[in-house]
Amino acid sequence: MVDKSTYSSLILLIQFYSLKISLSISFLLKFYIFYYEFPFLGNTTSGDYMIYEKLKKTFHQTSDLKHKKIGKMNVVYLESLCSSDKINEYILKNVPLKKNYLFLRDVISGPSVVFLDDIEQASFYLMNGYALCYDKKTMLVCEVKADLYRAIAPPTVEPSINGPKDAFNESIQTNLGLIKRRVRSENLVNENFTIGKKSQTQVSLLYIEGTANPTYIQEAQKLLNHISMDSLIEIESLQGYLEATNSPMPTALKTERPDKVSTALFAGKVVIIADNSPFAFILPAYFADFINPQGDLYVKATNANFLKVLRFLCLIITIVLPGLYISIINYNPETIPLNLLLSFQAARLGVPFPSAIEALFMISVCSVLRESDIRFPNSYGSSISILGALILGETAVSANVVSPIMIIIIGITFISALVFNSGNLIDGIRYYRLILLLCSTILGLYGFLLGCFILLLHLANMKTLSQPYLYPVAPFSSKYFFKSLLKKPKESQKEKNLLKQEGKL
Amino acid sequence: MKKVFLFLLCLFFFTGCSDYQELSDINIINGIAIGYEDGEYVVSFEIIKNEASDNSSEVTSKVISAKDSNLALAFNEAIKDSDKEAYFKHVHLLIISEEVAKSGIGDVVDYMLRNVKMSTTFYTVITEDSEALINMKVEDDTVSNYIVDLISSNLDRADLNNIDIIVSTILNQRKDIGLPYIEMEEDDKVTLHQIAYFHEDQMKDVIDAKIFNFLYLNKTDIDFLRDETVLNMYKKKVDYEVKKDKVIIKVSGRGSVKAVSSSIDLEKYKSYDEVKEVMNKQIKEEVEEFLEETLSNDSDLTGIKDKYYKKYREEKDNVPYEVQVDIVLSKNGSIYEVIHD
Repeated sequence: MVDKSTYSSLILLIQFYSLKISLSISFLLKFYIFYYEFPFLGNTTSGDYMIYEKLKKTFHQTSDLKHKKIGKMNVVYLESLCSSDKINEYILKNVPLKKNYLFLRDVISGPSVVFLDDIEQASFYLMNGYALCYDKKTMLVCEVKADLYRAIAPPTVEPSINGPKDAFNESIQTNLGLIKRRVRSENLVNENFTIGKKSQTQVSLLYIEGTANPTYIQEAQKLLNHISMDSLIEIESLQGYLEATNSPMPTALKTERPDKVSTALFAGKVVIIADNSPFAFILPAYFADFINPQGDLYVKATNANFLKVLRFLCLIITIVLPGLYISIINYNPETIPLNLLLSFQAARLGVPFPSAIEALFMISVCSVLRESDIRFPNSYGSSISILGALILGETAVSANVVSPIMIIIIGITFISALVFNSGNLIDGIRYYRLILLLCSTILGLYGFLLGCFILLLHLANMKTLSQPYLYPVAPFSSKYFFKSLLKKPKESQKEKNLLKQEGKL
Repeated sequence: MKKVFLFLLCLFFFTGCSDYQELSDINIINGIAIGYEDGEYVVSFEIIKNEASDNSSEVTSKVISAKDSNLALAFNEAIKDSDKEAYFKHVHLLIISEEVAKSGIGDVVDYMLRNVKMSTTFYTVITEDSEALINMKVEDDTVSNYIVDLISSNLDRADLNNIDIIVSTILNQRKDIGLPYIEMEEDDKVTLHQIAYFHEDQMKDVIDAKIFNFLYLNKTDIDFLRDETVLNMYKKKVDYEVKKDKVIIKVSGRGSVKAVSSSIDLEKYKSYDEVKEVMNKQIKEEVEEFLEETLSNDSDLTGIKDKYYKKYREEKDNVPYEVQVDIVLSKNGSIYEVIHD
């Protein structure tokens, strides 16, 4: 039997040792956490002040690098990239409440917090709108990015009467969000790439796994991996890398419409978006894709097909009209009815230049007008148009520099080009038009047809992401043909009748 | 690539350019007149004067003429007189004088066919004085356009303006051609009531254009008159049944009574049969008269000999023929019925 005093001393001994053990465990645990979480301490042995000095050295002559010391915590950020509201909300507001905090991570409440191992990593995050928070033990970054982007605005380059009215802006996250709102699938993959040695621009490759052709994905990955440039300011800089040929015709479809991107993703294509760019590139992009706008999807098939045919006619007119006109009036006037020929002849009387020079002059003037209209501020735009109209419509004719009929021909040519909203396509067409004009001037109708033949060969020889550019015409694919060049009614009458019979309609 | 480049270079250097012409540097010739004068060919060009004016609908013309013993030389002389390059691809009318036509239009069509700069689709007309016709005054239009409009509205057949067809018909020994004959009246008025019919390339004579229109052309709206009764043919069909002993010309179609003599009472159905019989007889007589006159001059406008030859491979100087006419009279919709109801 153990007496009472022995028992109580035993209890005291047990309590003493248990306390000692618990203290030891607690100490060991703290020590573990301390070193496990903050391995960078080795670099900050000279104190927290050294970190700021180092950053100052890195960002020398950067006036917006701000440093705040609150108690034992330091906050460093680039004022121009960060939102003061977010800094207050996520960091500064929490510090006075937790003066005796154990861990820095308990103080920072931002949605995106990253612990850093090395001070060298801090520069990247600071440049991306993060604030660096550190004390003697911990260093982390918290996202406090300022909203330096435009709000989501209606499309300006590809406007449409029907369909959604939102367009991409310069934020890659917003653009991704706009796409993901439409493609609600866990299979939507966005692979990130960093392009630009100095700009470090984030580029994302999007595709739907299982829907996209694996060949497209591999080729797009290969293209993006092989891009080497100092800076990527805008996604259009990538165009040269994405397009394999030196042809003036575009082989990557640039768009600002998220609905167009989503449609392309569902069609099994791949999409490339980049930070700071309100455009996306769709690959592969066939010739037929440039002719028809997204708006056709929101119009009845019958009406859409009428517009599609009209647009195709406009494409032909805008390429061939000057060349065809020159070849006919200079080599084969017998093909024009007499009364029309007399009008043409009367219009040309007194003009000292050959028709081809006249056409070249007018094409140049119209191109300059178009360019000035794009480049000039809007407030000047109207005066430029008036000046252009006056020069073209009145003065040039009355001065016998050009004939009125040539103004009509070039006017129709340029108006037909305005049907298309792809600037790259219009620029490409310009080359084709000039080549046909040259061939027609030298060889007449024969040259015109020769030029058409060469241009057709050139188009047929082109590839977009290893796919034939003239698809779905050559090689023919009825499925894509009725998705792009023509629109098939959703349900044929036969199917409707079947549904009626089954009582489903 | 080098080969392609060389090929294109050759194309650019060895073709084209020579045909290059500016519209402002050409004289568009609308009509040509060919006649004889003092044993020489007289060639006249009607050039469209294209001057910018406020009244754009007004088209005027000027005529230049030249003479030479040879047709080609006469053409060249006339071309030399043109202040700009003569452009023949819009020639719409060729006027040949009766004198030239009677001596043979072979040389003329041969020249027109050989000249690569010449249009191949133009109407050819015969007139007594080609120079007078081409120099005729026409208000707000050219002479050629005026006569072409006259032909188009009176003779309904497109191939009359094709030189190839004229040449092939002339060359065909068993078929002959008829060309419009323009008559000039006083105060610059022209009429087209007759056809100049040919044997080979020589003009034989002129004949009334009505039966020529009826048999040879597609003209349907034709009136026949007998004893104050007028029948209007609005639908017709001419078939040729070639038999060993003869060719039967079957004329069938529909017509309506346009006017009727007081002795016929159309209230009676029998009267229609009577009118029909009378009119069939009238048409048969007119056709037979036409054929008799042309065939007697060795001119076979309907091509009976050709049809016979194609079937039996046998050439005959005189192929017997028979004319059968069966015109159905339309009773419905006649004025009488409207009044009667």
